[in-house]
Amino acid sequence: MAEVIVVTSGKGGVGKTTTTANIGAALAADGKSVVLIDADIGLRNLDVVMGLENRIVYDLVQVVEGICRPKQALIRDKRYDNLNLLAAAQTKDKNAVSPEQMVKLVGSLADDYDYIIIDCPAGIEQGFQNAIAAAHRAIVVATPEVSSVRDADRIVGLLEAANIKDIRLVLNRIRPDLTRRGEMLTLEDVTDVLAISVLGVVPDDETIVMTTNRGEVAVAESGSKAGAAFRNIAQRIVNENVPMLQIDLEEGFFKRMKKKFSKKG
Amino acid sequence: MTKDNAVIFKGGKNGIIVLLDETADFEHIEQVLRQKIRGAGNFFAGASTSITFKGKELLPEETIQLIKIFDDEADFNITFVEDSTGVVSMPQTPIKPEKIPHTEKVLYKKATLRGGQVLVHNGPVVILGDVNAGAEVFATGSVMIFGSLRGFAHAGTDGDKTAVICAISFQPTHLKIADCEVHFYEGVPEEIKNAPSYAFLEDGAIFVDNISG
Repeated sequence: MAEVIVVTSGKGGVGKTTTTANIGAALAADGKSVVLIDADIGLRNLDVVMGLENRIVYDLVQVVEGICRPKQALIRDKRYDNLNLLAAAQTKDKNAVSPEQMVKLVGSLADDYDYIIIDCPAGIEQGFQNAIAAAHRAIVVATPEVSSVRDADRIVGLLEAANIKDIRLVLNRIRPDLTRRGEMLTLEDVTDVLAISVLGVVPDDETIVMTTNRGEVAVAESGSKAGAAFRNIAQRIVNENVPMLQIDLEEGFFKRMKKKFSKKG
Repeated sequence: MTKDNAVIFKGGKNGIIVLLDETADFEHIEQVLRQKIRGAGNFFAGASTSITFKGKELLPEETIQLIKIFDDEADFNITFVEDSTGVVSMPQTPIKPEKIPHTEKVLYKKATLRGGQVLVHNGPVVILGDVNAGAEVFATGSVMIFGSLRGFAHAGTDGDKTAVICAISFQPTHLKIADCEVHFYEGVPEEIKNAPSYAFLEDGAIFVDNISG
């Protein structure tokens, strides 16, 4: 039985699609069989980020409408044989699919794969409801900005209301130099508000921009810090006991020192 | 007795879930709800629980209307009302069906109220968790938060001027006690924010002070 994970955030542009693609690729590299579902109907991106745009024959809406079988619509990744993409439709909108149809679709794939990862659209409307309907657990992506954290908080509330209990945070695009100077929210600031457990921290890294534009994934680049962070996150999805990257440890240390001093004063 | 599925009761882990038919009009729902509560006899007698309305989107006035039906037809204490998604645009005017006895029953909620979530209670509220920015708490009694208050709290919604609002980390956007309201346009002062503090009403104005004095 596949584990079904939804990647969501509320706010747009915080890295849901990049996170989905990279976690998926890292899990596949680890030998797991993975299906990525792009639930962002009408504004599909995951295919572009993965460089599979030209290979789309059938999409999510066509599967739901019964025009093809789910497996027919899966696109095999260029690099990893056990990584598959179900692309969103570009010509329809979010209302073309219902939560019940998503549950059915995911159910029909669940037996044959280890992980099904759903890339959720921004917002909290129909598209969000569709994306979370079949999920067992959720990854909430946030950036260290107040607006992103506000939206993430709202999303966590909605996920809890939908009875999804395993909700983890990926703090994306963190800049240790700025957090150290106190000019960016720290991991602790964010977890203070969100009060959910942390799956990982991803540094702001230009290799993400470069790889995404080329239709490649950062986890395949050995020199990419973000890639390493996503590999760690994938390992933590499979097995809880994987240590955090150095950058979060560093940050924790500085925060602790700051706390120590402020207590004395 | 007609078989009508416009209103269905379900037991949930947090109380009673009332499933409303999305397609039914509101008057019909009112009627069926009234019938069904009557039909339930003493089932609800003396019960004290929360109610969640699901299925149909309700206006705040409609929610109050349905709660009044519960109050009219059953000896029933509603501790609080929540909607299925946690998205309640809850009453500007607090729920105050005159006939509900003022139970002063304390509501303990061990959870973080997140942006967009609203908690309404007849009596005092104790929250073991945070009230985040964008969340709202309405209580006829005091509001005590063992955590951070970053959202909005209204204590003494039916005019109790002795109600207080306290929190371990006190940083609300604005507060209301009885009919008196205060906004923190410039944010809450540091000395209040960093120590357990409480707000109280005196001479028609809200004051905020550290709990330790």
